[in-house]
Amino acid sequence: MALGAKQAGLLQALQEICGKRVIADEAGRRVYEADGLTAKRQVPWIVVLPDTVVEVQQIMRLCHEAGIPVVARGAGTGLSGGAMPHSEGVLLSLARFNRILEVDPDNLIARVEPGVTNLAISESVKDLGLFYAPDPSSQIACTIGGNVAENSGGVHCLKYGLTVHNVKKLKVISPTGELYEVGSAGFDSPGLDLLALLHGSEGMLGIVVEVTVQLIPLPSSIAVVLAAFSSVGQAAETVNTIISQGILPAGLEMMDKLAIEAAEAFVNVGYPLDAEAILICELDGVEQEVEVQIQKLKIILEAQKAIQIRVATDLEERQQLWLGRKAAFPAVGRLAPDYYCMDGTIPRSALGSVLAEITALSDTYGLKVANVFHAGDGNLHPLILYDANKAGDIETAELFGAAILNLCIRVGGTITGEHGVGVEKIDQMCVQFSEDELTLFHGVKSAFDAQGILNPGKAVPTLSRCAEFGAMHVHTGQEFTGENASEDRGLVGLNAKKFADLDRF
Amino acid sequence: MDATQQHLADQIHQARRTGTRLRIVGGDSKSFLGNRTDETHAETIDCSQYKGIVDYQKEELMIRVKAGTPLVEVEKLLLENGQLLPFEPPEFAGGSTIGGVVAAGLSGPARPYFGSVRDYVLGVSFIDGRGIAYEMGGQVMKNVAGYDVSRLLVGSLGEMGLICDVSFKVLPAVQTSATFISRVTASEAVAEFQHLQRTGAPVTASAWVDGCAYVRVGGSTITVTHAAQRVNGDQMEAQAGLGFWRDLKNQQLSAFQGEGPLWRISVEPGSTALLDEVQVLEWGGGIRWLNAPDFNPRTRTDPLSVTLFRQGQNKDPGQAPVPFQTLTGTVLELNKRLKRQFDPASILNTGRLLEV
Repeated sequence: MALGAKQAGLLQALQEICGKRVIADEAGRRVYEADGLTAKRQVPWIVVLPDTVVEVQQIMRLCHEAGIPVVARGAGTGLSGGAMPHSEGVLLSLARFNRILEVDPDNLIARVEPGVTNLAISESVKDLGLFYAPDPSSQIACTIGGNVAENSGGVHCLKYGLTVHNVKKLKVISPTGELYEVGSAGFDSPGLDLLALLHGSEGMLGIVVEVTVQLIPLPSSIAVVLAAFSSVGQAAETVNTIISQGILPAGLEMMDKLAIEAAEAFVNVGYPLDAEAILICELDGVEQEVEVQIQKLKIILEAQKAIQIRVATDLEERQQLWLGRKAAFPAVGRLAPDYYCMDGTIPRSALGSVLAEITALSDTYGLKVANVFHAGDGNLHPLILYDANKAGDIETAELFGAAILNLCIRVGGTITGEHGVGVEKIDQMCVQFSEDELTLFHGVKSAFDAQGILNPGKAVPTLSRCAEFGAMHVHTGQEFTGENASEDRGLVGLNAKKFADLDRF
Repeated sequence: MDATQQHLADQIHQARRTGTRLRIVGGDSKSFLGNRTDETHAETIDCSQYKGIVDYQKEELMIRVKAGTPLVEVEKLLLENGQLLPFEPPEFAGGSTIGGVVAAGLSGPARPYFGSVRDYVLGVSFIDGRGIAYEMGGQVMKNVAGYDVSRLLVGSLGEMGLICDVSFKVLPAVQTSATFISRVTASEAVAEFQHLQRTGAPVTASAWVDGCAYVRVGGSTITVTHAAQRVNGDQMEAQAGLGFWRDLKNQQLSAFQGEGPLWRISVEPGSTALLDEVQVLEWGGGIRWLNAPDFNPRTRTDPLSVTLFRQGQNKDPGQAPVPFQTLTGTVLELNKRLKRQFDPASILNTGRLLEV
């Protein structure tokens, strides 16, 4: 690596701060070249692993003065390339910030460092009868700092909300190295709600160095109900009926036939193979309430002509019913060499029609698709099956994916429910937002990071990029006039990736 | 954009050209809230005619409403359909509008158990200080495309833009509720609230007023019947219970009355700060109401977040208390810079939230 004088000086300064926790050799840097979006790779100029808040401040000051990009990274489980490094920038790993600093069971909060894994928080307060609610399926590996950056969801966010609903306070370092706090351990904070704005900001606005999360008492009773249907449309309609009848499940998931078959072949949990779709509905709360809800749910399911209903209340049975759902992604991964996981959200009432249209698109593009998703939230995760070794397959999968995202926008939804924009969907942003709206986003960015050193090129496209992409902004709910330019061209930069290794769903 | 909305945009556009300060008003029921601003040359921009339900999808748990719609109308429609705005916003002087609910960001008794206004805002359309219209967020529960500008507008007291349409997530109303009253000290009340929450009791509101703790539980009839065995105190008659929570929400109880300034103070629920001095506790102890002539938040070093709810009488205007804590350092800078991005000519409710 030939370094210019400026870079050599900066490298030395970083080494003075972090010592051996600066990785400059190529093999070492290559470890960080991608996040969960593995096909988008970029070896960073340098990797630093600070140990303290003061070190992060010093690093930011140095990079700010030198105008060097900084990309923050937690566990690197993100699925949209938000933590993909910059070739001329510093990859700032927060992995060493892995301590739980304080648990306050009376005030139902925990103060943790950003590198603590999502699951570790719940594990550490389990004995106190508490848990941290958002549970992305990468929760065993993903970090709370990354959850803030992506505003992560999970199976239980239908009832308990996203990360933004479960974080009370953040300590943040600005691009110029200033440490500040937003939110509070209480309920109000003075000034604008910067806490909300920082959630889902994908590392563009600041470096989170401490997170105070809200804890919730573990429900005293939990039931999982599996219902099988002879058509996808019937299952979709049932999702709407459940919600409109006043039941608020902790989670409400759906799997279609291809996903059911794959899961059953993989883990053999007794899912009905004659079903076109199944719903998995979790109810929780105080015991009497759960009892009432189960009865109410059964009546709905019978009226909706469910062909099978299974109710599990003991732990082992519940885990059994969840196992197939949780194994669904790797299970689908066995059906084809590769698959591409989409992440759009639509109004629940459009579930039936959108799923039918996805099936039609599957015929058009000649690629199979499996659906396993958070039905209660309307958050789709179609898995497009393809073979990267087959000529043209990747491109077709990209086109298919783009068509699904455009479909989501057309019915009044969004291009990403929980995986973020990152580099993956940056061009699709041109379709969802107007020029004025994108300009305002850049304004927000410049209020936090005037120099633009934090995670450049991610999350919000430049207007010139949109012009080049040729996409037309489509207002929510309005019909496309003919095929949209973006649909013709597919997602620029969208890549083949292998998700079978990831357990996130 | 319909004609009424276009008219509002034109008014802002015009004001920007002439440098006229605008005072955004819906029902004007919360004029007491925020900094006193120089209104010598300010014009009022009235949103009350921009009203109506844009869309209500019961099964989506979603309602989209124009800013000038009276809060009571929205609540009535939802109730007829067995649903509600879970954050129980206050309803002052009978005139609160949805735009004001969002701009003020005030939540009611259910807040610690169900979440705040901003937790239920899914999307907002608004007009910024240049007269440009935006559509942010949407009508779906999960949406991480772009910065979360909709939630930034909640509680911004009109400084960032004129709110047009708001999409809320709504929830099914609980089947039934019951309120229990018991005579305890403030610190005993906080301990009881915390115990109930820790043990997963179906509490939907908690307060302490005049030496009495009030706990509301909600859910199905059977849940409430069981909860009654876990909560201390006597069950209030249903109408009296409803009346208590309504008057608490709107600060109409006699405990709020007095001649001095009325402060709303947010702390960690278990904090001992001011516990012996406050008249009212809400939100499990996390909100404390203080009616005290000499309280000065600026001299406090403990982590309080304060809001002045009533100026008090006989005050020399020059010595009137400042209604919020002063922002400092990076947070102050970020607030100022964001304001400039949304309202470069500084014409929208300027100074109401952020001191000039």
